[in-house]
Amino acid sequence: MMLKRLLPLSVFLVLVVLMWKGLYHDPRKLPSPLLGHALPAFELPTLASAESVDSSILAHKVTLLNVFASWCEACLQEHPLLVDLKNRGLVNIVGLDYKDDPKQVKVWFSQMGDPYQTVLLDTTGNYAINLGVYGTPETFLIDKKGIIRYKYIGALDADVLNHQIIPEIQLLAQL
Amino acid sequence: MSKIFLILLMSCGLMISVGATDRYVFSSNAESLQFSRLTQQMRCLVCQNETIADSEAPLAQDLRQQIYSKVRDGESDQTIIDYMIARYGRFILFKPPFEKSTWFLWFAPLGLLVMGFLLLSRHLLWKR
Repeated sequence: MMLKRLLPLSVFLVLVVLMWKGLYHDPRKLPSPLLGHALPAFELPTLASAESVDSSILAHKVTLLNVFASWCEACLQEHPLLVDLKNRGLVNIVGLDYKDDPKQVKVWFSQMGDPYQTVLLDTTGNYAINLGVYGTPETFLIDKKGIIRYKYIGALDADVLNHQIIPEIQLLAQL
Repeated sequence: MSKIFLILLMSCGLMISVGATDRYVFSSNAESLQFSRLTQQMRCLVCQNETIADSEAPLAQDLRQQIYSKVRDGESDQTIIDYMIARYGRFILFKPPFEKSTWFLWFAPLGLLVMGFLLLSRHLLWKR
């Protein structure tokens, strides 16, 4: 008898829990279907030279691929963290400049530093579509075999870097 | 007179689809319909309650362009949809798939309605 009376309350509590969790769920952060798949092949020019490079530049190194643009406010915010990461020498950082003006990027770097080993230029944004990019910045971790292992959507912060990304890098470095 | 007729007849072969602010030219009605069909069933991931057909977001424009090229290349609906899902995941489709993992989603509204109805009728009958 008692149980029957508690039913509406328990249903209500379950709903409260679900909705509470829903409040913290960001619909903009979608899981990527590319995890566990090889990084899509590319042949793109770089900031350094008009000659195209392909995925051989990633050869056998754990790589952090950062999709950014000089017009992107959030990218500006995370930039110092990337420079710091580069200085720590933990990982090879490659940039993908998305629908941007290379001249602006150079200006940006002269003011704020350049954390990238290479900056790939995707002026049309067509390669980024292959990565499922829908808003900059986005950061990928790629293992030594060229498989995408991790994706973060949005500006990096110290928390994500220290608790998710760096541990993952260290894990991948040992494989 | 017949020249005008001929020109009119030929221009019927040109189908123009207007989505947001772009204009795409197709070579057949079927292509135009395919384009509309596909862009209206996909979600713009930047403005998530808008379709790729309607959204003004740059990404939506890029994806419309991709879909347009593929439609012109003669790719099937399923091939194009698979291409999008491979890159963006299932969420790019507005309609959730009807499979085991989503049965709850599909049946829940009807289920809740039926349950509510049963509880109500039991309650009313009991009251009598």
